[in-house]
Amino acid sequence: MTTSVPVAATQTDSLRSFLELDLLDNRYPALHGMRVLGIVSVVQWHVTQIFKIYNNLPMSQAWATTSMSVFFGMDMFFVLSGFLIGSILLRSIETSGSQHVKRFYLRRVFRTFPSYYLVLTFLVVTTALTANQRHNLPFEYTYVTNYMSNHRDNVVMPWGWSLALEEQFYLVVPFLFFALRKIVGDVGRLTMLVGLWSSTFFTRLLLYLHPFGWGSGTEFVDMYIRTHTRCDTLVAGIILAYVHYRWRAPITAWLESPRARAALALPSLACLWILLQPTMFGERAGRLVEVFSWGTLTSIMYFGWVLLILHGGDGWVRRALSAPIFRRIATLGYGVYLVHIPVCYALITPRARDLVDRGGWSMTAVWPLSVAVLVLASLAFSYVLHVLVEKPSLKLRDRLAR
Amino acid sequence: MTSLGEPLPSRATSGSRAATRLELAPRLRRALLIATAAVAVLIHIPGLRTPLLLDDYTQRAMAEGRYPSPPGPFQLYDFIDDANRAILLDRGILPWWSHPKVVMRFLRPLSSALLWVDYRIVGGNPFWGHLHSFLWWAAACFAVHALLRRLFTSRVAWLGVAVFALAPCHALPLSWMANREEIVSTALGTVALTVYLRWREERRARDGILSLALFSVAALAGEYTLCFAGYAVAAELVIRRESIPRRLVGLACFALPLVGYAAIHQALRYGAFGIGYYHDPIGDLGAYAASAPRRLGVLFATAWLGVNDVAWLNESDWKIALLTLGAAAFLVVPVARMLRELDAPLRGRAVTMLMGSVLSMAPVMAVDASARLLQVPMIGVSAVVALLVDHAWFPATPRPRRGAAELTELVVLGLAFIHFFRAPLDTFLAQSATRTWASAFAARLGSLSERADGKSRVTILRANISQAIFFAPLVIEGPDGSEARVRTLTLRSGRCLLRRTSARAFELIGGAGGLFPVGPDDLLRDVPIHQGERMELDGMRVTLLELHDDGSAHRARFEFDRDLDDPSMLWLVDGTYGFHEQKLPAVGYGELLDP
Repeated sequence: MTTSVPVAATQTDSLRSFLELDLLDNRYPALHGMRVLGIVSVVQWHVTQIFKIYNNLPMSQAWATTSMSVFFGMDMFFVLSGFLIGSILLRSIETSGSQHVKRFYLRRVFRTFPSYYLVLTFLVVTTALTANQRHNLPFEYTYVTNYMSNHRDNVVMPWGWSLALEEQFYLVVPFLFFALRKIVGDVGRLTMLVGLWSSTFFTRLLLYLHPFGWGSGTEFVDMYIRTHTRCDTLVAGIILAYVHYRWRAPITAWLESPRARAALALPSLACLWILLQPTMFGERAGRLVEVFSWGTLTSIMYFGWVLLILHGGDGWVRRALSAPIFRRIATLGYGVYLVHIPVCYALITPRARDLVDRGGWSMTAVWPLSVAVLVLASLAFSYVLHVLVEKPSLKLRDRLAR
Repeated sequence: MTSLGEPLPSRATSGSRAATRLELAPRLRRALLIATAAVAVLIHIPGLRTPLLLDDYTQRAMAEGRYPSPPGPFQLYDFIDDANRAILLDRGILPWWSHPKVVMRFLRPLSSALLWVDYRIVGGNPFWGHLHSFLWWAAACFAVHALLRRLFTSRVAWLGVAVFALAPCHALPLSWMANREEIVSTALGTVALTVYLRWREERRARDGILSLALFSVAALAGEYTLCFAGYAVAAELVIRRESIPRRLVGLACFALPLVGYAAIHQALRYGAFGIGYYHDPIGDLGAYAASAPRRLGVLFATAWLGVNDVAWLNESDWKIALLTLGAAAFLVVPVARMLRELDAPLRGRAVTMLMGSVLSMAPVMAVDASARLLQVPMIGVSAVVALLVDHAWFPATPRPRRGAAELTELVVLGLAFIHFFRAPLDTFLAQSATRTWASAFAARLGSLSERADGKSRVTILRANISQAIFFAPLVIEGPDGSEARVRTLTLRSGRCLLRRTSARAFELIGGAGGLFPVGPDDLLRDVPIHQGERMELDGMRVTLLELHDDGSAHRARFEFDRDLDDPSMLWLVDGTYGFHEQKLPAVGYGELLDP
């Protein structure tokens, strides 16, 4: 009797410990809320793409256009990723005077590789691959999906382009910081970072003006998924980290004024408006608008939002975004990213088609229901992935990369 | 110390920050006004290069004496009346299905004279006409700044004039010369209102007389001046400790000129009749009242939130009601907080502007809601938005950021975005779109003129836009410079069938939408058409053979006084890229007219 209680308690504790989430760092709680908004926007975009384009479900064109104009959730992950990586490296330099490159790479590898490889391998094993998919598998396993044609007939995980882009960027970030440390003064460093950021825009502009035909021949692939045309959002995150690191106190003091907050929010709102209304400049200007939208406007927008959230005082928006539930959901965000598209194909789309074709349901009801169910289902799968793969891998990481 | 430097300390804290000044320093004020003027001019520049648009063609023809029974310099807005209706029908400027008693004439002698001078001096080059409009617009902006400067602080005046000058309500009037009358009314009316408010506050008789004179001149510009009644009524309602007779006397300065205007308007039978687009509040109060709530809702939301007036025009009643209530709910807390914190005289002026902005919409509810009608309401909207921004962004003392204060900050941020970013962008895009449309229309008329010149009878079997009907006859010359007879048989009829029934007759059979639009809101005819109805015109007789269930025309027979294959006759169809010639089928055969 006296010994059985502690044993039961220990078993319960270890089960709880096994099942509980290894929550994300909570230094910036409001960013978790932003991540969740990003997750929802990415999921709804893919639902529309899969329903309307790949399955021809009867969604109204206006709805589909509006839904797909909210493409910039992915860009938020890039900006936040750049910001967090930049902040980690800056903290590392601040505390020990070194970037600890090996530790940095180990932490990235243990954070992202295991779940990705598991999901990719699972899809490879369980689906009938096309010849192109088989041919491109080595590239998918080495994170260069974004330099393939990302049509689903060519790669197993077309959405892996964004992870590949991030991994490629992580590879060079320590070199970027090495260069930054060689430059004396804030003006020089910011000039370099802004130069790097804007070079991506100019690359897109060049491709728009002179489509060289060195890629797959489609604008989306040539401009939207390549690292050299899309890394500006990640660089914007690095700039944000640097600005936050250097001018935290002056910015916080400045943002005590309501007009300062407005001065920061208005450009972000302006960018958001343009992003949501890509055809306002006319059909002919549409392609050119995309050159600006795919990175430049999104960077400016998120730069403003994140600064406001970090330094703009304890307002409603910040409090709402800091709700504890968002931290839990954000912790599962990476898993949701990996699994939501297969889940949508395998579970959601057939049910949605049934509801429309046999049940006579309207897409006005089916679409939001599908998005909600997909988010929940993806969270469930992601939780399993988290408990079985991510957590052990993070534990191992902590042991190896202290 | 690290190689990337350390976090920098803050240089100032909120406690050490200087108190916010109420007034702008003169140099700063000048710089801000110049910058605002530069932006405002920049966004309106496409308007300077817009070709003639819609009624401009008619008024140029009037000024050049090419319009049937040419009117005088003060009557360029007398489009259709009892005297010229039959001639207009005969020339084809009015289509055969128009309301048989249609009237469209507006009492705008000053605006008419200004246009007449333009056309007589610079002829067909619209640039100078637009420049003329720009000068009136600049005058209106100066007048609004002077009004706001008189009522509020220099910062509020600057913010207010920025909201006013950048607003999309000026886009169409600046690129459409015929619509200049609104700018002229606004400029003169604003000066009159400023003097009027000075009179009511300072009680100097000469101001009263001056305001009466100025309102009289403004009324000569057109009925749009009636909108200022909203501000006058609001001012009289808000002024405290005044007896009702004194208030009525106060109102007389504004009311007398308008009563005079209304009397002349009625005596000379000005106004609109038979046209669904206009619901004359004097002549047809019922129709005006029936359409007013919808129009008010769209105007209110367009003025405050910059919603798309065109898109909302066709929305259901409940959606418009929801929009209006939503817009009001969006504003109520910040406006109430702002008013509560103002001192009594400023509060009275702010309430006058707020009430005036709503009441001034009443006269323009006579026509379909459109941003272009909002110049006078925007004066009040600009003042209140400026006060809200000033109140939220330049607080005299720092406020805690909780509850209503935070809501106010968010709403003001939204309003600032709408009026300082979206509005100029929308204005620029609207100007550009108008120029593109006007250029395309001019090219369309040009192609028509090229094909049809020298023909004595031109028949447009199907027009895609109603404007083609009104203005095509004004650009086509018959043989040896004589007047050509241009007739349009159907409008927006989609895919329809032409069946030749004899050498001189054919039938047109329309699709689901009918051969032409009719209905209570249609521009050309607001009453139903009847089966068997006949219309006799010189050289053409139309019989309406069949109607759809919804009352639209399904089948009509057209008989002519000569063989349809006669070389003097030209048959055209309006297509996507302009007019093209249509060969008529042989007797007993049909031909599909594709859209």
